Amino acid sequence: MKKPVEILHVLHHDSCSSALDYAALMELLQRNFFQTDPEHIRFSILFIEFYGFNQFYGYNENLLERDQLLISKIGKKLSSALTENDMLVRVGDYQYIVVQADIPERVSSELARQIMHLFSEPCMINGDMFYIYTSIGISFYPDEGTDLYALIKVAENKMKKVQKNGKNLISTVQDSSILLTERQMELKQALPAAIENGEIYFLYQAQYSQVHQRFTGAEMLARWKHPAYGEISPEIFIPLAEQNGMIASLSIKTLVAASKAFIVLDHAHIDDFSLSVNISPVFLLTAHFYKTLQFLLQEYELNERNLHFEITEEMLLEHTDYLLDILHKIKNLGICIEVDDFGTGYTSIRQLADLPIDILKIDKSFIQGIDTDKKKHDLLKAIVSMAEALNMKVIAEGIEKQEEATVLQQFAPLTIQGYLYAKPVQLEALVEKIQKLSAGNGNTL
Amino acid sequence: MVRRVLIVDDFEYNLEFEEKVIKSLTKEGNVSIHVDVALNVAEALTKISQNAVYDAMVIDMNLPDGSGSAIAKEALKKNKTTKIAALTLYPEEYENSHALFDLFLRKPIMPMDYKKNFKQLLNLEG
Repeated sequence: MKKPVEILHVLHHDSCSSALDYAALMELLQRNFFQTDPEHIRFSILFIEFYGFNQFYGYNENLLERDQLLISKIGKKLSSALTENDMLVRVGDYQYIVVQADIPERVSSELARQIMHLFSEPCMINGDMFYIYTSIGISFYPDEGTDLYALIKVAENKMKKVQKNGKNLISTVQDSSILLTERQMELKQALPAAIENGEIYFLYQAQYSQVHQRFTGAEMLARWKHPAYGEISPEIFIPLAEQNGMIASLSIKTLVAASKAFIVLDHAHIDDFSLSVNISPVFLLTAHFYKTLQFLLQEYELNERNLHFEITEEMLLEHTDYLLDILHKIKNLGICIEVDDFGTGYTSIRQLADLPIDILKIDKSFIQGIDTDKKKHDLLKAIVSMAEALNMKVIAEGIEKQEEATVLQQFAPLTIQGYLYAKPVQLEALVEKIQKLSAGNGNTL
Repeated sequence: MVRRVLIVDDFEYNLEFEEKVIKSLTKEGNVSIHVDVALNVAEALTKISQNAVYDAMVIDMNLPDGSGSAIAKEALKKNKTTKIAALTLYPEEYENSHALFDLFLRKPIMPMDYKKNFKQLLNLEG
């Protein structure tokens, strides 16, 4: 894809009115790509605003340097979505106009979606993670006017309108198409109340240790029971929570729930039992993460507990000094670090060796079918050997068949998590299951 | 000097959370804070009528038996200097229209933000 016509500077820098030099912009438009008969000119204007960068950050850092880096990164990322037929103009600190010539309306909507998708991933600047929200309004020439000033205003107003309705939205004139479905928008807006009023709850999936011949821990899994839509998959609501910043509140709620669960387990005389909590990278890399964690550990007496944090392998790819530092701090607090979905990313052995990881949770895609697939068998054997060499424990996820469990036993005694041994259940059911097994009446579910 | 505060919320989870944040504040500095809690408007009004003057209050706006505003009005009748924060999922709905409150805090509660705002409410150093 060739580079777009790119003018990465503010056309008219008037700090009082923030006014655009429309004459200059029109001149640029004419000069750059309006070769056709004026009567046949068709173009669309995408007014884009990026925002939300400071959501998790204090203001005592070097803002100027950070902003410059951020602006530069945004510009590069934005350019990568455009072609030589598009024109990009930066019109404000974090505002851009893209002009697309001679294209049908749906192509502009598609480009808007593409831009939205590009910025759905957080930006890393000097080890800090910035979550960028995007709002886009689109207007069309000549359907909505022939005056450039008016067309830009139409696109800008639409952008502002969708911004009021929520983050990461697109508005076009004709169809008001949006990136997120209405249902997703509704769920996103309902999330704070759901976290608040207990619609989000936790299930526990027990982990069976072949070494100890007992359940030695459980993973906590967040679930959302929506009053109108019933059970909402975490695959839907966790990304939404990451988008609107609610992931921090959700993580805090999970840790508080873990503290309560440890008390219940204590009362049931279930000792030496770990609880694994999934920690989102969006929460982990926020400025307040460590202080918040310290607060929870101290005030909710989680310090002496068998607390494990699960981070995804994908996150390790952002192998920054900041991440390394925070992982060491977590470990120094006595928390065990697990790498979730191991095998789905591309972590090198070198990276693994450098990180303070205690446990590898091997993704179910490596486990399922291990009894019949020789390649998977050999691959898993290699992973287990590597983990042993790095002094890491292994948890095998997604065991559903006895045959798979039997094959696993041949490698080394592992810890196993899967429907064969235990489904995700409420805390009371977990306690009952552990007690039954320890009383000798236990069986797999 | 002991400061006396009242926190009102119908979710016990929140009351416990707020108490712990305030407790951590007490541990950090040279301030002693006594915390009273109430789960609804009726309980809060009883506490206000029975107790001595409160230095500050953090009131959930959406309570099962009414609005947090009723509590704020009563508290200010008793003592005009009581500092009052409204706790709500939608602070922007109240911010411009309410003269009863000194501060608007967003739910769900984030401990570090709550701590900072609470210090501001009680006019504590640091």
